[in-house]
Amino acid sequence: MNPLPPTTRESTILQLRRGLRPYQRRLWLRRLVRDGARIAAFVAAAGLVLAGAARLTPLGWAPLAAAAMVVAGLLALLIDAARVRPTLAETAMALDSEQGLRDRLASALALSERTPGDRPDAKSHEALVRLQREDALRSLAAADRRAFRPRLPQRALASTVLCAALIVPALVLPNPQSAILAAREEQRDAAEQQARRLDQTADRLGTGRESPDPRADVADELRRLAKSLRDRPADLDEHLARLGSMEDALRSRLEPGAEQRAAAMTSLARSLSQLATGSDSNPAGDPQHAAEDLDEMAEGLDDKSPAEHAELARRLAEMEPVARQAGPEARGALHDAASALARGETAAAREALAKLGDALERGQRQVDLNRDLARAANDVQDARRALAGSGPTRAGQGGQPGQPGSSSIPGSSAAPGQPGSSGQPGQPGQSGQPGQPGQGSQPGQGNQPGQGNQPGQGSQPGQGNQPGQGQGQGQGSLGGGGSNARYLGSGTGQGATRGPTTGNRQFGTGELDPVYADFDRLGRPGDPSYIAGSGGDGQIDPGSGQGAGTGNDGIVPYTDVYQEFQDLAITTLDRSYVPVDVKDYVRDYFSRLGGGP
Amino acid sequence: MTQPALDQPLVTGLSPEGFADRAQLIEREIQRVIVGQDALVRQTLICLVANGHALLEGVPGLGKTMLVRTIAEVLDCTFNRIQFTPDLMPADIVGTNVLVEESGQRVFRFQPGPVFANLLLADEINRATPKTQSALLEAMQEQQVSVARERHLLSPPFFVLATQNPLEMEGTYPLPEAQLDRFLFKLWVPFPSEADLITIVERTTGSTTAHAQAVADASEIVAMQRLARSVPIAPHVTAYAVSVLAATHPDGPRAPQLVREYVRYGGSPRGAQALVLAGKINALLEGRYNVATDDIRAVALPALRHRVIRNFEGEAEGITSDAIVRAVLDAVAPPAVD
Repeated sequence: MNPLPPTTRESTILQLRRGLRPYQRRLWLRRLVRDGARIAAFVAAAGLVLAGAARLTPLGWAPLAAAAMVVAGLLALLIDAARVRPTLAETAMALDSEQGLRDRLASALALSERTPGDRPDAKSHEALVRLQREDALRSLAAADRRAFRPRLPQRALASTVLCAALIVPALVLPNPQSAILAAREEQRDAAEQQARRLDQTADRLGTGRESPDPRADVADELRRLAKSLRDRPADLDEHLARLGSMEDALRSRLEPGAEQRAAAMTSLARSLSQLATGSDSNPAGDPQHAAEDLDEMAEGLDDKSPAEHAELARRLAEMEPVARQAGPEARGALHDAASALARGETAAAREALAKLGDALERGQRQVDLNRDLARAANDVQDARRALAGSGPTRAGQGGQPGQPGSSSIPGSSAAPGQPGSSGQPGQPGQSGQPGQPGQGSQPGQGNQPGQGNQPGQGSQPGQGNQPGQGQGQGQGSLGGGGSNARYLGSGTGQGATRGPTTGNRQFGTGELDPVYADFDRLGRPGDPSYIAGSGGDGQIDPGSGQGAGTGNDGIVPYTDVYQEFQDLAITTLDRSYVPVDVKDYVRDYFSRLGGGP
Repeated sequence: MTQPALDQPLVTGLSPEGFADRAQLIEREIQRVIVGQDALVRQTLICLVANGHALLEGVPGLGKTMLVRTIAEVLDCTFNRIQFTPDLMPADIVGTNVLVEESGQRVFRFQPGPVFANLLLADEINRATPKTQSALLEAMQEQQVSVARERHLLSPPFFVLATQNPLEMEGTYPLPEAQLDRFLFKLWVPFPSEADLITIVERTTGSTTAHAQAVADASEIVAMQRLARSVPIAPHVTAYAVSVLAATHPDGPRAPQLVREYVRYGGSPRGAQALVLAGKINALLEGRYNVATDDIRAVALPALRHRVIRNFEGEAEGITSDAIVRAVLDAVAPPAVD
């Protein structure tokens, strides 16, 4: 061994350190590759476990978790990169080991930082240290420049490849949990949508109103419901129960005859305005407008002759039947006004007419409240149905017992319910009670024999050329028991006759039995033709009896049956879920008819 | 023949290259007489340069005495041999005062014993009584003898090669552990291979016998000893030597299962000293200026095998000390960076 020419201690140390730098970087890279492969294997294994779990159970957060794993892996690699950065001493030791240098570099580097002190052999010790450094430098110069080639750990690499190979089919093949997740997502969306609807309803109800106005309380409750829907969209049953409870509460507040009363008030208001002004100044039947007209009429009473007073009294007396339906207060005030005018007591008549105007306005406010609550109830009902339709599939519930059929509304164009997609077969509904005899007053026009098993009660003569016989095929589209089945009775009353309605149709099985009726059996809410039955399908007993229509040729003026039809329509509107605009449509229809021929 | 003291600074100017050359010369000369046994020769030389002593164990006839005699010839040192027997007395080793007549007066004069030599062969040391053994062991440790309240220093280098016969244990006095610890190495003399045996037979049955020539003297040995001690050692290598020694203890944190089960006591601190010092010499002999962990591992077996005290189970199961030391070396891997 020939020692190198003498160099200073510092210069050899610097040379040694400088010579180790490239190896330090290469060693760092090797460690990063090694640890990166291990981290990748770990992430791949975790991803495989996650993918497997996601196929066994619905994990909505699986994609997020997978992304988090990748991010965590990258983060771990970054942290590891800082952690595994080798020192020069480590590099020297690793290079000694890799190149078989027998600790030359590590020893030289370690001893370069130590001083011999005052040991007796310091001189020879220092000489040997110098020789060591020079020997180390020679060894370093002869070392392979390509040392520390990155090496992939075979086991980690195999694990990564295996996991990746297993993950691909797990991701590509259809995942049965996706449908569940989609249903949940749909449920969340539906919850959000219904929450918005409830908020809108609450805004409509609560704006400008404060307690004790019941609409303000209802608005608060609706907002709480909306918040609960947003916060806990998965609690479908609870929300359905709360919505149902609220709907029941709202409907319990509804005045059953409110719409009939409203129709009567409209008709009365229109008639009073016509009486007061002598023209059709209030075609909409606005009670406030009518009150103003009454005030004007009252002010001009003194200018009228007794004969005119008598005529007014007579006209007012004719309105008493309508006023009776508008409410006792209105009827009383009308009666007082008529009586006062008949007696020629204009002062009393003015006072009575003022009371009549006030009664009309109060009644209108009550009607407005009723309509608001009814509309809110309908909104809640719609929300509940939409929410129920968005929920996961579950077993159907048994249908409610059928209610007696009572409809005489000629079902003419009810849209059939849309089939559900994945409902479970429901339990058969209980048989409905036999339908009540049809009360339809329209003349039978069909030429088919009636099929109802109840005797017809038609009392009006038919208009057809054939002898009047019950020809209806009333199927009680509005009768029958309720059911939650998806396929509900289509309620396609086709008779439009006075023949007897039949009992409710037996709730079917098979494709008619899915669960969670989407409640749109008669078309979509808002459809003018949408006339919902009051319940689901009960058993339908096809009517076999024939109508007892008479075969005369008489023509009955509609004014004779107007009141009866109106009563039935209003009753139906009150008892059944009918969209508000349809109710308004029906009311307006009768209101316009009520104006007289 | 100059005999410099070891505690004086190095003045000989012996370079590491000169050390290696001189050592190779010694080894080559010894191998002219001793056939095979290269490792034994190397380890004996390490012991000599480390200023330690060696305990040779082997069956009779393997050349233990021949080895020592050859070393003495090669080193041009004084050589004595003591055949230990049960009736050997301490005075027979260290010497005694004898009454002599000088100028008409009778005075006591110290008559040095055979221990006063550079190389001493203590043949079958376990056949002497403990009292006699301890007399020699005191001289080995202190490099001096005390007779009649007078200390008599031994001349460096002082190198004792004691031998033991592992077969004939009847009527022997096995060396106590504390005295075994005084030996730097315990060397196992293996049976030569057939090829070596052929060479031995050919060399020793002819008309001429191979003889070694002196290639070094005592002063050169002392210089080599000083240089060996001057070799710097990196901290991580020293730590490794300590770790190896600590692993020979059954309660050591890195002790292997074999040590935990079959070792009663591990090596003493002298064991770590032996590892480091012998490692330095091994590095120099291989032409390096630095001590590597491989040097520690190379000398671990002879340095530790007599310092590991087996328990009863170990002895009953026939677990050898060599197996234990190898288990320790397997358990304590050199510091590695990957």
